[in-house]
Amino acid sequence: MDEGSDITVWLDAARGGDRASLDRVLTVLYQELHGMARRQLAGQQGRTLDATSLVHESYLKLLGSRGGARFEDRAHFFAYAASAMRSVVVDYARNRLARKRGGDLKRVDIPENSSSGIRMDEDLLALDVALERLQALDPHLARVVELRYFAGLTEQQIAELSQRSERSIRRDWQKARLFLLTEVSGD
Amino acid sequence: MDALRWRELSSWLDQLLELDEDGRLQRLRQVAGRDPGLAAELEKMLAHERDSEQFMAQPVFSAPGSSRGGTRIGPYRLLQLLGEGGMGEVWLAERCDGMYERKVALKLLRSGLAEPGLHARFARERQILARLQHPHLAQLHNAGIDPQGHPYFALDYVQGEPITEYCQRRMLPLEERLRLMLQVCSVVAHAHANLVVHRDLKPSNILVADGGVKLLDFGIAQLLDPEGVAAVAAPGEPRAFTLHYAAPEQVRGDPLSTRTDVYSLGVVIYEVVTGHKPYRLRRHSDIEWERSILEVQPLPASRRLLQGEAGMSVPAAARRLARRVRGDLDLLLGKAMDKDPQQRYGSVDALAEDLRRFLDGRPLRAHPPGTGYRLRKYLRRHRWGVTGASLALSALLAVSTMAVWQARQARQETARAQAMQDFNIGLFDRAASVRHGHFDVRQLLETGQQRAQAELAGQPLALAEMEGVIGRLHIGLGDYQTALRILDQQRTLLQAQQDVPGALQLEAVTQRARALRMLGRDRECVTHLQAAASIADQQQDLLPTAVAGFASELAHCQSQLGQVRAARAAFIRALALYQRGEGNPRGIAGALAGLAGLDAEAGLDARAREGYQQALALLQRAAPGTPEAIGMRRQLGQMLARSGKAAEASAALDQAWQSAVQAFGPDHPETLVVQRSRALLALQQGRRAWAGPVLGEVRDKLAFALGPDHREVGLAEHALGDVARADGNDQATVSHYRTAVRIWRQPDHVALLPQGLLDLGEAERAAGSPARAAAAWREARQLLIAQRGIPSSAVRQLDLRLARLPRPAEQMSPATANN
Repeated sequence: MDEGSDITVWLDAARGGDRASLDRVLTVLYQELHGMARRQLAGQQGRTLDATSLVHESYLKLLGSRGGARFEDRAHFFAYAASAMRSVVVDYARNRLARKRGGDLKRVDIPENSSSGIRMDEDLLALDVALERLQALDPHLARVVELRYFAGLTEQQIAELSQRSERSIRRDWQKARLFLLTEVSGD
Repeated sequence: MDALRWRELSSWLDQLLELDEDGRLQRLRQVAGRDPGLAAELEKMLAHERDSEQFMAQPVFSAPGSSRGGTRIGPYRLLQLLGEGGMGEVWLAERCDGMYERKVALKLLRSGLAEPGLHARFARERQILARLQHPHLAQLHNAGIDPQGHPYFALDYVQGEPITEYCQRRMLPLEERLRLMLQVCSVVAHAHANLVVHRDLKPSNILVADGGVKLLDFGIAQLLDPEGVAAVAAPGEPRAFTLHYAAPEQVRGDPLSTRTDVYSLGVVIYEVVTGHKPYRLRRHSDIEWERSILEVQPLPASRRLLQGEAGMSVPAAARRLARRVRGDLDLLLGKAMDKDPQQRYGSVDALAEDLRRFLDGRPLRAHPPGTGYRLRKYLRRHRWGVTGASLALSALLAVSTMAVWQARQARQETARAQAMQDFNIGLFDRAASVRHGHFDVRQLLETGQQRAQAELAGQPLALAEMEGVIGRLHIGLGDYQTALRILDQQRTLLQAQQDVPGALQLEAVTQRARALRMLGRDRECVTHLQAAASIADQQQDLLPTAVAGFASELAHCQSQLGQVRAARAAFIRALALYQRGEGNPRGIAGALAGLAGLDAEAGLDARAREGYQQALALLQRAAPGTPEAIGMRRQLGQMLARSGKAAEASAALDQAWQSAVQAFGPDHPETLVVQRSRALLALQQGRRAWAGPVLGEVRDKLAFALGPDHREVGLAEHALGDVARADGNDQATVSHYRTAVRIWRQPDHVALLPQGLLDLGEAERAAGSPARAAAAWREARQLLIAQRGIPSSAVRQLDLRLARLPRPAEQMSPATANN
């Protein structure tokens, strides 16, 4: 299947509120990111994952390589890709945990610790749950977290994509982080 | 948490996150007044902000080196990539330890540069670059090495426009363009005075912000490429410098000097004035550029202006400008961009002077052909004399900081040594004796000072720097009075200035304190230093070595005054600062030896010995041959002698003496002090016949060099008393000890007084004057208690001695006195 040829159509439809198209976009992105992550890890022993490059590569592959992607496409693409990347990472953590409980650690192919020091086990799952709660309370903030933390975009890039000031993105990020910290630390 | 509650918290957080720590506390207190629960919750959240800085700071997975936004580098957090170049990345960054609000441009050097040798060079350069502080310079705030081993620099973040574009866009008149260039010259001259050559001056490094110039990247080219090898990069290799502004010697790969910067400044001025580069190329290729730089005479700026743009008529404004440029400005630019460095302006100051003369309509100093003729001829005629003399001066400079080896190192850094030479040639020009291949150092310094005062009168900061150098050299020569006189002048000069760079202030204060200490004026030394304590505190981050020197000087003075605890604290501060970053072995050794001295004073001989040996081993390893080892060996020897280890003491003292004679000569105070210790040891070993005359000579020479009331003269007198006592000459003993006590009664030397009084009392007792003995001992007792706080064993021993003295009534009768 050539995802690239149709993704703009799906993106348009998803933006229009078509739930099925949105699922489709996310599925494609999920598979793409997951596959690239596996390749990135398999390439070399001890190599680390790089979420930022994964997201950007998937963009180039699915959208950017044909040139002249419309701005709305770009903005939405990254939002969806960030969300998909989050799913990939959460699933990794879930698998890792399952295998750890099952005592089979031989096939572990993902680093135990993320770059930011959060362990790829209950810790990350707890963060995911907290983020879910934030999404319910304040979807904007959750979006910023996905873009910055899971897709590795800079605050400046997020500001450009969402057409807001860098300062307000930074403020959102600070607040989101405080919310998540408070939730995760259980107080 | 429900949505309503979150909305409330969220809007409070919006407000609170805007505030600083104090503001937050205040606002939270207000909130608590109305809703304690809300305030507590907010406070808890904000506490997370402080305690969990790392939480989610980086993306969930990120490869090191890529997409580093948010990453911490040293005390900075990367915010935004400003640019990427051959050298590495430039990031906008902010302090994340809350120390300063100001954003900085953080330069991260690329990994390929993490080659061996870079780190040591980096540490050395960082010290030098930190010294550069100038209103038109993008200040270096911090530099370090990130966990991956890549060096980084934090500089002022300057949002400006390259000078050429700024001038064009605003269509500034010629005068204003040249005035901006004068600002550039002032920074470059400041850096040259600090022996740093830029080597990569170009419009993109010269930004105009808020109407003033800011120069970027001073010294970084030099750090990356100390030999200037990038200039001869292999074909296809990226060059570290921009060819358009490179001087012929850079293209050829010859040694660079301050005149390399003069050339590049010439090219920039040319472009700022005409809007064009000085060479017109048929084909734009590097090879063509190189050929032009090496061979083609640049078109005079006035003629370039008349050529205008290809295929367009020359506007009237350009023609008017050309008329103004023709003549003097053409001449000035031609001299700045001469192919032969020796034919260029000798310094940036000279170039700036002619720019000012042009602006004022006065005749230039530059003359058509024949310029520099005299100097060149002189240099050729006296090539060996001048070379020898300038090397000797480097060596002298090194002695002043007590290191001959440093001169060798300095010479290896070609560009800087060249700068030094350029800076000093004028000195030799007038030192008559140079012509005969040898010269009188003191005369040289005097000439240098006169010249500095005459020629740098309009540049008080440069004059102050020069006086600092000359003062330091006099300290090195042991001429402490002269040094103090010059440093006093420097002080007066600096007091009248505003915006004195911190580095200069600290150095001036420390140097003057050192002169005071050498003169035995220790209380003044301490007061003088303490007046600058706040400057030292402010500069601690930026100039750790300078502040360490400051602390170490303070410690020495306090230690002389018997302020043991304060001295120890100051030595420890110095040690910590010297150890910061790559460390400074000579400084570390000095502080270790200082601490050992305090241990020895407290009778902790084993610990003191260990300290001295550690310090000496460090010097031996990192800086063999430094004269600091002399003082350390002397102190170690003295301590060993005191604890009866004569053979070891003798070895240490003999070695110290040999080095001192070699480094300082036989009449230098340092050498004389070593000789005194040797004589005392000889006395201890029973070689009175040698010790006596030697000590007499030492005392006379010390009195001559330092004045008759100097502490060291007192020590020599005291030693002579020891000799007389060993000879059994009671009257002579009393007389020498009395002289010593008289000298030490000066408030600066009270730390020595108890021992002096103790020995004097013993001598008076032996000479049959128990009343005088009792008086001396009582005074000693009082002093000891006052100085050390608690009654020590020394005090108890004094009490015993006092108790054994015959009572006053009985002392009339010699018969009972002998009981």
